[in-house]
Amino acid sequence: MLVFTRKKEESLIIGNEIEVVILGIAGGGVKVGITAPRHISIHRKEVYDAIKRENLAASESQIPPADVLKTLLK
Amino acid sequence: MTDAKSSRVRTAKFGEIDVPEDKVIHFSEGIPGFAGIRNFTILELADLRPFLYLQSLDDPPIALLIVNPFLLHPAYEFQVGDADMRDLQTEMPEEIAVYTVVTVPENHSEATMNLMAPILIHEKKHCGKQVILLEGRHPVKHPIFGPAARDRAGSQ
Repeated sequence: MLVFTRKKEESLIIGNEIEVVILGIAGGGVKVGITAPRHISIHRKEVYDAIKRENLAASESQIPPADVLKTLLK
Repeated sequence: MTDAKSSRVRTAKFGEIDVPEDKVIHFSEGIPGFAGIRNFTILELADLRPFLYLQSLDDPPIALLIVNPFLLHPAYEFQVGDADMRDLQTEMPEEIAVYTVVTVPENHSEATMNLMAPILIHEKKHCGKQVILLEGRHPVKHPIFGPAARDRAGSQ
């Protein structure tokens, strides 16, 4: 992992198209602004992880037998 | 490949299946949790209705349980961004099929679907994308079966 120390309003450039700027630091939080091409999706990691977990769980899920399913869907 | 128009795929749940070329759906970004897999198809099994499987055609041969969310939750609605629509190669929402990922725990009645990250598919263009909605009002775990159904199943 690459580690930088940045001050408020300083930024980083990733590749030619992605800029990460530190907008502010307050309390225990850092406010970060990101400029990136629209095709790059950006998400909070915990949200992405939750979706990953659901996808993995869905790949291991078994549908109940037809009669049980019928009852559940009523 | 058995011939030019379809390919034979080994699946974990359904043995070997033949998938016609025009039923292949390409996810250019993959999907979270299975990032290396790009090609999928939708499998319908009569016994499972209304549930379907999003079957991977690449290794590993995983299959995600999915459903048309509007059948179970008619009030579901969301907005798709321009970039996502561009990825799906259309400007017309009516051309997009919507599915949600279904999770069934050991207690079947507690099954949920992920309303925060619907799977959008443009069948004619053979492309798909799992989008993550930003509005923050759609849960990752939305119960599929109503409280009454859950009580019935629980008392069996």
